[in-house]
Amino acid sequence: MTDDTPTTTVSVTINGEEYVRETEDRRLLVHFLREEVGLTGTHQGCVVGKCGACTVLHNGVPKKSCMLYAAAVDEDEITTVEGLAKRAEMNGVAMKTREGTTFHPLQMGFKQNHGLQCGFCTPGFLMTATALLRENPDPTREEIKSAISGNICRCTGYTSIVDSIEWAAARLREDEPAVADGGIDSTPCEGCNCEIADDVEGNDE
Amino acid sequence: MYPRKFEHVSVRTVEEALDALETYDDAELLAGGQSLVPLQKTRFASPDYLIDITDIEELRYVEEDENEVRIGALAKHTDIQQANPIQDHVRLFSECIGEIADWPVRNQGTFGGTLAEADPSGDYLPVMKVLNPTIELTGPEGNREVPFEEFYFGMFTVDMDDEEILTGARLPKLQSLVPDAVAVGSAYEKHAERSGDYALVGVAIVVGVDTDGLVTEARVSVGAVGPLVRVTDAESVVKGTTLDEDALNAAATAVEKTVQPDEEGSEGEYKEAMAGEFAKRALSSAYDRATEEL
Repeated sequence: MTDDTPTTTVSVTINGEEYVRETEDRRLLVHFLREEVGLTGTHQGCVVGKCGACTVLHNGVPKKSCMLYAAAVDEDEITTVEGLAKRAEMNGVAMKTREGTTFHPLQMGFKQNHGLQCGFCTPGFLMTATALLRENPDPTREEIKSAISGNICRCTGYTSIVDSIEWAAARLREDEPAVADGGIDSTPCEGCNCEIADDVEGNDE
Repeated sequence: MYPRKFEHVSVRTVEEALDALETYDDAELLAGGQSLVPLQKTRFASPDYLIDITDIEELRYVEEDENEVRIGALAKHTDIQQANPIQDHVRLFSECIGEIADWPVRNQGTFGGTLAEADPSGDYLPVMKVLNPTIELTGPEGNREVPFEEFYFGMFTVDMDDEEILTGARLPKLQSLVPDAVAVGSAYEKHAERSGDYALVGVAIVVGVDTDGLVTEARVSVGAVGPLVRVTDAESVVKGTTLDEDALNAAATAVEKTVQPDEEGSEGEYKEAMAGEFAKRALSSAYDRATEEL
Protein backbone atom coordinates (compact mmCIF):
# COMPACT_ATOMS: atom_id res chain seq x y z
CA MET A 1 0.00 0.00 0.00
CA THR A 2 1.31 3.43 -0.92
CA ASP A 3 1.41 6.48 1.30
CA ASP A 4 -1.50 7.97 -0.58
CA THR A 5 -4.63 8.13 1.46
CA PRO A 6 -7.39 6.18 -0.28
CA THR A 7 -10.52 8.26 -0.72
CA THR A 8 -13.98 7.70 -2.14
CA THR A 9 -16.47 10.17 -3.53
CA VAL A 10 -19.57 9.57 -1.48
CA SER A 11 -22.93 10.75 -2.70
CA VAL A 12 -25.53 10.42 0.02
CA THR A 13 -29.00 11.81 0.69
CA ILE A 14 -29.21 13.14 4.21
CA ASN A 15 -32.57 14.34 5.50
CA GLY A 16 -33.76 14.70 1.92
CA GLU A 17 -30.77 16.71 0.67
CA GLU A 18 -28.03 15.30 -1.47
CA TYR A 19 -24.44 15.72 -0.36
CA VAL A 20 -21.38 14.78 -2.39
CA ARG A 21 -18.08 14.67 -0.55
CA GLU A 22 -14.73 13.12 -1.19
CA THR A 23 -13.82 11.36 2.00
CA GLU A 24 -11.15 9.09 3.38
CA ASP A 25 -12.06 5.40 3.04
CA ARG A 26 -11.54 4.83 6.73
CA ARG A 27 -13.87 7.68 7.71
CA LEU A 28 -16.69 6.50 9.95
CA LEU A 29 -20.18 7.68 9.09
CA VAL A 30 -20.50 9.50 12.43
CA HIS A 31 -17.40 11.58 11.67
CA PHE A 32 -18.52 12.14 8.09
CA LEU A 33 -21.84 13.54 9.32
CA ARG A 34 -20.33 15.73 11.99
CA GLU A 35 -17.11 16.93 10.44
CA GLU A 36 -17.67 16.87 6.69
CA VAL A 37 -21.36 17.66 6.43
CA GLY A 38 -21.56 19.73 9.60
CA LEU A 39 -24.55 17.92 11.07
CA THR A 40 -23.47 17.74 14.68
CA GLY A 41 -26.80 16.54 16.05
CA THR A 42 -25.54 12.97 15.73
CA HIS A 43 -23.35 12.50 18.74
CA GLN A 44 -20.17 10.52 19.09
CA GLY A 45 -20.18 8.68 22.39
CA CYS A 46 -18.19 5.52 22.90
CA VAL A 47 -17.27 4.94 19.21
CA VAL A 48 -17.24 1.19 19.85
CA GLY A 49 -20.88 0.46 19.15
CA LYS A 50 -22.01 0.20 22.75
CA CYS A 51 -23.74 3.47 23.63
CA GLY A 52 -26.01 4.19 20.66
CA ALA A 53 -25.58 8.00 20.82
CA CYS A 54 -24.65 7.98 17.13
CA THR A 55 -27.72 6.04 15.95
CA VAL A 56 -29.09 7.23 12.60
CA LEU A 57 -31.55 5.78 10.10
CA HIS A 58 -29.81 4.13 7.15
CA ASN A 59 -32.36 3.56 4.38
CA GLY A 60 -34.96 3.87 7.15
CA VAL A 61 -33.38 1.34 9.48
CA PRO A 62 -31.68 2.32 12.76
CA LYS A 63 -27.94 1.65 12.77
CA LYS A 64 -24.96 2.90 14.71
CA SER A 65 -23.05 5.37 12.59
CA CYS A 66 -19.77 4.58 14.36
CA MET A 67 -20.04 1.03 13.04
CA LEU A 68 -20.39 2.00 9.38
CA TYR A 69 -17.89 3.52 7.00
CA ALA A 70 -19.04 6.58 5.06
CA ALA A 71 -17.77 4.94 1.87
CA ALA A 72 -20.18 2.08 2.51
CA VAL A 73 -23.30 4.27 2.44
CA ASP A 74 -22.64 5.71 -1.02
CA GLU A 75 -25.96 6.25 -2.87
CA ASP A 76 -27.96 5.54 0.29
CA GLU A 77 -30.34 7.58 2.43
CA ILE A 78 -29.56 8.74 5.93
CA THR A 79 -31.90 10.41 8.40
CA THR A 80 -30.40 12.18 11.38
CA VAL A 81 -32.00 13.95 14.32
CA GLU A 82 -31.87 17.21 12.34
CA GLY A 83 -34.32 15.68 9.88
CA LEU A 84 -36.91 14.57 12.42
CA ALA A 85 -39.00 17.73 12.59
CA LYS A 86 -39.10 18.02 8.81
CA ARG A 87 -40.16 14.43 8.56
CA ALA A 88 -42.95 15.07 11.06
CA GLU A 89 -44.08 18.09 9.03
CA MET A 90 -44.18 16.00 5.88
CA ASN A 91 -46.29 13.41 7.65
CA GLY A 92 -48.57 16.04 9.11
CA VAL A 93 -47.75 15.19 12.70
CA ALA A 94 -45.45 18.07 13.63
CA MET A 95 -45.92 19.88 16.94
CA LYS A 96 -44.86 23.36 17.96
CA THR A 97 -43.46 24.54 21.23
CA ARG A 98 -44.65 27.81 22.76
CA GLU A 99 -41.49 29.42 21.39
CA GLY A 100 -42.46 28.31 17.91
CA THR A 101 -39.95 25.52 17.42
CA THR A 102 -41.22 22.68 15.27
CA PHE A 103 -40.87 19.27 16.88
CA HIS A 104 -41.47 15.68 16.00
CA PRO A 105 -43.94 14.16 18.53
CA LEU A 106 -41.05 12.12 19.95
CA GLN A 107 -39.04 15.27 20.60
CA MET A 108 -42.09 16.79 22.27
CA GLY A 109 -42.51 13.57 24.23
CA PHE A 110 -38.96 13.77 25.58
CA LYS A 111 -39.47 17.43 26.46
CA GLN A 112 -42.80 16.92 28.18
CA ASN A 113 -41.88 13.77 30.07
CA HIS A 114 -38.37 14.71 31.16
CA GLY A 115 -36.89 12.07 28.84
CA LEU A 116 -33.57 13.87 28.93
CA GLN A 117 -31.27 15.57 31.37
CA CYS A 118 -27.88 16.35 29.84
CA GLY A 119 -29.21 15.44 26.40
CA PHE A 120 -26.08 13.77 25.07
CA CYS A 121 -27.71 10.42 24.35
CA THR A 122 -31.03 11.91 23.19
CA PRO A 123 -30.44 12.02 19.41
CA GLY A 124 -29.72 8.29 19.43
CA PHE A 125 -32.81 7.48 21.48
CA LEU A 126 -34.95 9.64 19.19
CA MET A 127 -33.74 7.86 16.07
CA THR A 128 -34.21 4.37 17.48
CA ALA A 129 -37.64 5.32 18.79
CA THR A 130 -38.66 6.83 15.45
CA ALA A 131 -37.94 3.52 13.74
CA LEU A 132 -39.68 1.58 16.50
CA LEU A 133 -42.92 3.56 16.24
CA ARG A 134 -42.99 3.22 12.49
CA GLU A 135 -42.64 -0.54 12.79
CA ASN A 136 -44.86 -0.91 15.84
CA PRO A 137 -47.19 2.04 16.50
CA ASP A 138 -48.45 0.59 19.78
CA PRO A 139 -45.48 -0.96 21.58
CA THR A 140 -45.68 -2.32 25.11
CA ARG A 141 -43.24 -0.95 27.67
CA GLU A 142 -41.29 -4.20 27.33
CA GLU A 143 -41.07 -3.79 23.57
CA ILE A 144 -39.85 -0.22 24.02
CA LYS A 145 -37.19 -1.36 26.48
CA SER A 146 -36.05 -4.08 24.11
CA ALA A 147 -35.83 -1.65 21.17
CA ILE A 148 -33.76 0.90 23.11
CA SER A 149 -31.49 -1.64 24.80
CA GLY A 150 -28.67 -0.50 22.49
CA ASN A 151 -28.93 3.10 23.69
CA ILE A 152 -27.31 4.06 26.95
CA CYS A 153 -28.39 7.00 29.12
CA ARG A 154 -26.42 7.84 32.24
CA CYS A 155 -28.81 10.46 33.61
CA THR A 156 -32.44 9.51 33.53
CA GLY A 157 -32.68 5.92 34.70
CA TYR A 158 -34.72 5.20 31.55
CA THR A 159 -38.20 5.27 33.11
CA SER A 160 -38.89 8.74 31.79
CA ILE A 161 -37.47 7.78 28.40
CA VAL A 162 -39.90 4.89 28.14
CA ASP A 163 -42.67 7.28 29.27
CA SER A 164 -41.64 9.75 26.57
CA ILE A 165 -41.81 7.15 23.82
CA GLU A 166 -45.17 5.88 25.07
CA TRP A 167 -46.46 9.43 25.14
CA ALA A 168 -45.38 10.04 21.54
CA ALA A 169 -46.79 6.71 20.42
CA ALA A 170 -50.16 7.61 21.91
CA ARG A 171 -50.13 11.03 20.20
CA LEU A 172 -49.19 9.51 16.86
CA ARG A 173 -51.93 6.88 17.13
CA GLU A 174 -54.63 9.37 18.01
CA ASP A 175 -53.33 11.44 15.30
CA GLU A 176 -54.93 10.39 12.07
CA PRO A 177 -58.50 11.55 12.62
CA ALA A 178 -58.00 13.29 15.92
CA VAL A 179 -55.28 15.74 15.05
CA ALA A 180 -57.03 17.10 12.01
CA ASP A 181 -59.66 18.55 14.29
CA GLY A 182 -57.17 19.67 16.84
CA GLY A 183 -57.63 16.57 18.93
CA ILE A 184 -54.14 16.43 20.32
CA ASP A 185 -54.04 17.20 23.99
CA SER A 186 -53.66 20.93 23.75
CA THR A 187 -53.68 21.64 27.45
CA PRO A 188 -50.43 23.35 28.35
CA CYS A 189 -48.49 21.00 30.53
CA GLU A 190 -47.47 22.01 34.00
CA GLY A 191 -43.97 22.86 34.99
CA CYS A 192 -42.41 23.24 31.61
CA ASN A 193 -42.61 26.12 29.27
CA CYS A 194 -44.24 24.42 26.35
CA GLU A 195 -47.54 23.90 24.71
CA ILE A 196 -48.66 21.52 22.06
CA ALA A 197 -49.77 23.24 18.95
CA ASP A 198 -52.99 22.35 17.25
CA ASP A 199 -51.91 24.01 14.05
CA VAL A 200 -50.67 20.80 12.59
CA GLU A 201 -49.50 20.79 9.01
CA GLY A 202 -52.31 19.86 6.67
CA ASN A 203 -54.88 21.57 8.86
CA ASP A 204 -56.03 24.83 7.37
CA GLU A 205 -57.03 26.55 10.57
CA MET B 1 -10.21 5.66 17.65
CA TYR B 2 -9.51 5.25 13.96
CA PRO B 3 -8.76 2.21 11.85
CA ARG B 4 -5.45 2.10 10.04
CA LYS B 5 -5.69 3.38 6.46
CA PHE B 6 -7.24 0.95 4.03
CA GLU B 7 -8.77 1.06 0.60
CA HIS B 8 -12.51 0.45 0.35
CA VAL B 9 -13.38 -1.78 -2.62
CA SER B 10 -17.08 -1.96 -3.37
CA VAL B 11 -18.44 -5.02 -5.20
CA ARG B 12 -21.98 -5.87 -6.28
CA THR B 13 -21.79 -9.53 -7.33
CA VAL B 14 -20.19 -12.73 -6.06
CA GLU B 15 -18.06 -12.84 -9.19
CA GLU B 16 -16.72 -9.33 -8.60
CA ALA B 17 -15.95 -10.27 -5.01
CA LEU B 18 -13.97 -13.34 -6.07
CA ASP B 19 -12.05 -11.26 -8.61
CA ALA B 20 -11.28 -8.67 -5.94
CA LEU B 21 -10.04 -11.36 -3.53
CA GLU B 22 -7.69 -12.59 -6.22
CA THR B 23 -6.50 -9.09 -7.14
CA TYR B 24 -5.87 -7.60 -3.71
CA ASP B 25 -3.43 -9.00 -1.20
CA ASP B 26 -4.11 -8.54 2.49
CA ALA B 27 -7.82 -8.03 2.00
CA GLU B 28 -10.74 -8.67 4.34
CA LEU B 29 -14.36 -9.09 3.40
CA LEU B 30 -16.69 -6.51 4.94
CA ALA B 31 -20.11 -8.17 5.30
CA GLY B 32 -22.02 -6.18 7.94
CA GLY B 33 -18.94 -4.93 9.76
CA GLN B 34 -20.43 -5.12 13.24
CA SER B 35 -17.42 -7.13 14.44
CA LEU B 36 -14.84 -6.17 11.84
CA VAL B 37 -15.20 -2.39 12.20
CA PRO B 38 -14.56 -2.49 15.98
CA LEU B 39 -11.66 -4.89 15.39
CA GLN B 40 -10.17 -2.42 12.92
CA LYS B 41 -10.61 0.46 15.33
CA THR B 42 -8.80 -1.45 18.05
CA ARG B 43 -6.20 -2.51 15.43
CA PHE B 44 -6.75 -6.21 15.96
CA ALA B 45 -7.46 -6.22 12.23
CA SER B 46 -5.62 -3.89 9.86
CA PRO B 47 -6.14 -5.10 6.32
CA ASP B 48 -4.84 -3.02 3.39
CA TYR B 49 -8.07 -3.59 1.49
CA LEU B 50 -11.66 -3.95 2.58
CA ILE B 51 -13.80 -5.71 0.01
CA ASP B 52 -17.29 -4.47 0.76
CA ILE B 53 -19.73 -7.25 -0.10
CA THR B 54 -22.62 -5.76 1.92
CA ASP B 55 -24.59 -4.80 -1.19
CA ILE B 56 -24.49 -8.17 -2.97
CA GLU B 57 -28.27 -8.47 -3.12
CA GLU B 58 -28.20 -12.00 -4.58
CA LEU B 59 -26.92 -13.26 -1.21
CA ARG B 60 -29.66 -11.66 0.87
CA TYR B 61 -32.47 -14.21 1.20
CA VAL B 62 -34.23 -16.56 3.63
CA GLU B 63 -36.12 -19.28 1.77
CA GLU B 64 -37.86 -22.52 2.59
CA ASP B 65 -37.42 -25.94 0.98
CA GLU B 66 -39.13 -29.15 2.00
CA ASN B 67 -36.77 -30.08 4.85
CA GLU B 68 -34.46 -27.08 5.00
CA VAL B 69 -34.36 -23.34 5.34
CA ARG B 70 -31.81 -21.69 3.07
CA ILE B 71 -30.17 -18.50 4.29
CA GLY B 72 -27.99 -16.23 2.18
CA ALA B 73 -24.73 -15.04 3.70
CA LEU B 74 -25.76 -11.40 3.50
CA ALA B 75 -29.14 -11.79 5.15
CA LYS B 76 -29.15 -9.42 8.12
CA HIS B 77 -29.86 -10.86 11.56
CA THR B 78 -33.16 -9.00 11.62
CA ASP B 79 -34.18 -10.49 8.23
CA ILE B 80 -33.65 -13.98 9.62
CA GLN B 81 -35.31 -13.34 12.97
CA GLN B 82 -38.49 -12.10 11.30
CA ALA B 83 -38.61 -14.70 8.51
CA ASN B 84 -41.57 -17.07 8.75
CA PRO B 85 -39.63 -20.22 7.78
CA ILE B 86 -37.28 -19.59 10.72
CA GLN B 87 -40.04 -18.76 13.21
CA ASP B 88 -42.05 -21.80 12.11
CA HIS B 89 -39.33 -24.40 11.71
CA VAL B 90 -36.13 -23.28 13.45
CA ARG B 91 -37.56 -21.38 16.39
CA LEU B 92 -34.45 -21.46 18.57
CA PHE B 93 -32.50 -19.59 15.90
CA SER B 94 -34.99 -16.74 15.92
CA GLU B 95 -34.76 -16.72 19.71
CA CYS B 96 -30.96 -16.75 19.56
CA ILE B 97 -30.86 -13.78 17.19
CA GLY B 98 -33.05 -11.78 19.59
CA GLU B 99 -30.19 -12.09 22.09
CA ILE B 100 -27.47 -10.72 19.80
CA ALA B 101 -26.21 -7.26 20.84
CA ASP B 102 -29.07 -4.85 20.13
CA TRP B 103 -31.50 -3.85 17.41
CA PRO B 104 -29.29 -1.44 15.41
CA VAL B 105 -26.46 -4.00 15.38
CA ARG B 106 -28.84 -6.78 14.30
CA ASN B 107 -30.03 -4.53 11.46
CA GLN B 108 -26.53 -4.44 9.98
CA GLY B 109 -24.81 -7.65 11.15
CA THR B 110 -25.00 -10.56 8.71
CA PHE B 111 -25.42 -14.31 8.83
CA GLY B 112 -22.31 -15.09 6.79
CA GLY B 113 -20.12 -12.62 8.64
CA THR B 114 -21.08 -14.13 11.97
CA LEU B 115 -20.51 -17.71 10.80
CA ALA B 116 -17.15 -16.89 9.27
CA GLU B 117 -15.98 -14.99 12.35
CA ALA B 118 -16.94 -17.87 14.69
CA ASP B 119 -16.65 -15.86 17.88
CA PRO B 120 -16.76 -18.39 20.74
CA SER B 121 -18.84 -16.03 22.90
CA GLY B 122 -21.26 -15.22 20.12
CA ASP B 123 -24.80 -16.54 20.17
CA TYR B 124 -24.75 -18.44 16.87
CA LEU B 125 -22.35 -21.26 17.68
CA PRO B 126 -24.40 -23.43 20.09
CA VAL B 127 -27.37 -23.21 17.72
CA MET B 128 -25.22 -24.22 14.76
CA LYS B 129 -23.82 -27.06 16.81
CA VAL B 130 -27.27 -28.64 17.37
CA LEU B 131 -28.46 -27.95 13.81
CA ASN B 132 -25.27 -28.88 11.94
CA PRO B 133 -26.28 -26.92 8.82
CA THR B 134 -24.60 -27.33 5.45
CA ILE B 135 -22.30 -24.39 4.81
CA GLU B 136 -22.00 -23.19 1.22
CA LEU B 137 -18.79 -21.62 -0.04
CA THR B 138 -17.51 -20.47 -3.37
CA GLY B 139 -13.97 -19.80 -4.53
CA PRO B 140 -11.71 -19.78 -7.56
CA GLU B 141 -12.11 -23.56 -7.80
CA GLY B 142 -15.91 -23.40 -7.77
CA ASN B 143 -18.57 -24.17 -5.19
CA ARG B 144 -18.08 -26.31 -2.12
CA GLU B 145 -20.37 -27.54 0.67
CA VAL B 146 -19.28 -28.58 4.10
CA PRO B 147 -21.25 -29.58 7.20
CA PHE B 148 -20.87 -27.15 10.11
CA GLU B 149 -19.20 -29.91 12.17
CA GLU B 150 -16.31 -29.90 9.71
CA PHE B 151 -16.46 -26.18 8.90
CA TYR B 152 -15.90 -25.08 12.50
CA PHE B 153 -12.39 -25.91 13.72
CA GLY B 154 -12.46 -23.91 16.94
CA MET B 155 -12.76 -20.35 18.14
CA PHE B 156 -12.26 -17.79 15.35
CA THR B 157 -11.11 -20.61 13.06
CA VAL B 158 -13.14 -22.10 10.22
CA ASP B 159 -12.55 -24.09 7.06
CA MET B 160 -12.48 -21.18 4.66
CA ASP B 161 -9.74 -20.19 2.25
CA ASP B 162 -8.41 -16.64 1.86
CA GLU B 163 -9.85 -16.51 -1.64
CA GLU B 164 -13.19 -18.05 -0.74
CA ILE B 165 -16.54 -16.49 0.13
CA LEU B 166 -19.19 -18.00 2.35
CA THR B 167 -22.36 -17.66 0.28
CA GLY B 168 -24.97 -19.22 2.55
CA ALA B 169 -26.12 -22.23 4.52
CA ARG B 170 -28.96 -24.71 4.60
CA LEU B 171 -30.48 -25.22 8.04
CA PRO B 172 -32.45 -28.40 8.69
CA LYS B 173 -36.03 -27.90 9.87
CA LEU B 174 -36.19 -29.09 13.45
CA GLN B 175 -38.65 -31.87 12.72
CA SER B 176 -36.10 -33.51 10.40
CA LEU B 177 -33.57 -33.66 13.27
CA VAL B 178 -35.91 -35.82 15.38
CA PRO B 179 -37.68 -37.98 12.78
CA ASP B 180 -39.23 -40.37 15.34
CA ALA B 181 -40.93 -37.61 17.32
CA VAL B 182 -44.54 -36.52 16.88
CA ALA B 183 -43.75 -33.02 18.13
CA VAL B 184 -40.60 -30.96 18.46
CA GLY B 185 -39.61 -28.02 20.64
CA SER B 186 -36.49 -25.91 20.81
CA ALA B 187 -34.97 -23.17 22.90
CA TYR B 188 -31.92 -20.94 23.18
CA GLU B 189 -31.06 -19.61 26.64
CA LYS B 190 -28.32 -17.11 27.25
CA HIS B 191 -26.70 -15.92 30.42
CA ALA B 192 -25.05 -12.50 30.22
CA GLU B 193 -24.44 -9.73 32.72
CA ARG B 194 -26.31 -7.11 30.72
CA SER B 195 -28.69 -7.21 27.79
CA GLY B 196 -26.64 -7.28 24.59
CA ASP B 197 -23.41 -8.50 26.15
CA TYR B 198 -21.52 -11.46 24.83
CA ALA B 199 -22.70 -14.71 26.37
CA LEU B 200 -21.21 -16.07 29.57
CA VAL B 201 -23.18 -19.20 28.75
CA GLY B 202 -25.29 -20.02 25.69
CA VAL B 203 -27.37 -23.20 25.55
CA ALA B 204 -29.20 -24.55 22.50
CA ILE B 205 -31.74 -27.35 22.82
CA VAL B 206 -33.91 -29.40 20.48
CA VAL B 207 -36.33 -31.88 22.04
CA GLY B 208 -38.60 -34.38 20.27
CA VAL B 209 -41.48 -36.09 22.11
CA ASP B 210 -43.84 -38.98 21.39
CA THR B 211 -47.63 -39.02 21.91
CA ASP B 212 -47.20 -39.78 25.63
CA GLY B 213 -44.92 -36.81 26.09
CA LEU B 214 -41.81 -38.95 26.48
CA VAL B 215 -38.59 -37.56 25.03
CA THR B 216 -37.63 -39.55 21.93
CA GLU B 217 -34.47 -37.59 21.23
CA ALA B 218 -32.76 -34.47 22.48
CA ARG B 219 -29.90 -32.33 21.27
CA VAL B 220 -28.00 -30.24 23.78
CA SER B 221 -25.10 -27.91 23.09
CA VAL B 222 -23.31 -25.35 25.19
CA GLY B 223 -21.24 -22.42 23.96
CA ALA B 224 -19.09 -19.72 25.55
CA VAL B 225 -17.89 -22.04 28.33
CA GLY B 226 -14.58 -23.29 26.98
CA PRO B 227 -14.78 -25.23 23.71
CA LEU B 228 -18.17 -25.46 21.99
CA VAL B 229 -19.68 -28.86 22.93
CA ARG B 230 -22.57 -31.22 22.27
CA VAL B 231 -23.45 -32.77 25.63
CA THR B 232 -24.34 -36.31 24.58
CA ASP B 233 -24.52 -37.52 28.20
CA ALA B 234 -27.27 -35.01 28.87
CA GLU B 235 -29.03 -36.06 25.69
CA SER B 236 -29.09 -39.70 26.75
CA VAL B 237 -30.23 -39.11 30.36
CA VAL B 238 -33.33 -37.22 29.25
CA LYS B 239 -34.33 -39.77 26.62
CA GLY B 240 -37.49 -41.68 27.56
CA THR B 241 -38.36 -39.29 30.40
CA THR B 242 -41.01 -36.59 30.74
CA LEU B 243 -38.23 -34.21 31.75
CA ASP B 244 -39.22 -34.28 35.39
CA GLU B 245 -37.07 -32.75 38.12
CA ASP B 246 -34.80 -35.82 38.30
CA ALA B 247 -34.17 -35.88 34.56
CA LEU B 248 -33.45 -32.15 34.52
CA ASN B 249 -31.01 -32.45 37.42
CA ALA B 250 -29.26 -35.37 35.77
CA ALA B 251 -28.94 -33.39 32.55
CA ALA B 252 -27.56 -30.39 34.44
CA THR B 253 -24.98 -32.59 36.15
CA ALA B 254 -23.93 -34.02 32.79
CA VAL B 255 -23.55 -30.50 31.39
CA GLU B 256 -21.47 -29.34 34.36
CA LYS B 257 -19.17 -32.35 33.97
CA THR B 258 -18.75 -31.90 30.23
CA VAL B 259 -18.01 -28.19 29.88
CA GLN B 260 -14.42 -27.08 30.32
CA PRO B 261 -14.33 -23.39 31.17
CA ASP B 262 -11.18 -21.49 30.24
CA GLU B 263 -11.29 -19.69 33.58
CA GLU B 264 -9.86 -21.28 36.70
CA GLY B 265 -11.13 -21.20 40.27
CA SER B 266 -14.40 -19.64 41.29
CA GLU B 267 -14.98 -17.99 37.92
CA GLY B 268 -14.79 -21.33 36.15
CA GLU B 269 -16.97 -22.98 38.79
CA TYR B 270 -19.53 -20.23 38.34
CA LYS B 271 -19.66 -20.75 34.58
CA GLU B 272 -19.99 -24.51 35.05
CA ALA B 273 -22.88 -24.03 37.45
CA MET B 274 -24.57 -21.53 35.13
CA ALA B 275 -24.15 -23.88 32.17
CA GLY B 276 -26.07 -26.51 34.17
CA GLU B 277 -28.72 -24.07 35.30
CA PHE B 278 -29.34 -22.57 31.88
CA ALA B 279 -29.38 -26.03 30.29
CA LYS B 280 -32.20 -26.90 32.71
CA ARG B 281 -34.14 -23.79 31.80
CA ALA B 282 -33.66 -24.32 28.08
CA LEU B 283 -34.62 -27.99 28.32
CA SER B 284 -37.80 -27.09 30.19
CA SER B 285 -38.86 -24.44 27.66
CA ALA B 286 -38.07 -26.70 24.71
CA TYR B 287 -40.01 -29.55 26.31
CA ASP B 288 -43.01 -27.33 27.10
CA ARG B 289 -43.07 -26.05 23.54
CA ALA B 290 -42.94 -29.62 22.21
CA THR B 291 -45.75 -30.89 24.43
CA GLU B 292 -47.92 -27.84 23.66
CA GLU B 293 -48.09 -29.18 20.14
CA LEU B 294 -49.39 -32.59 21.23
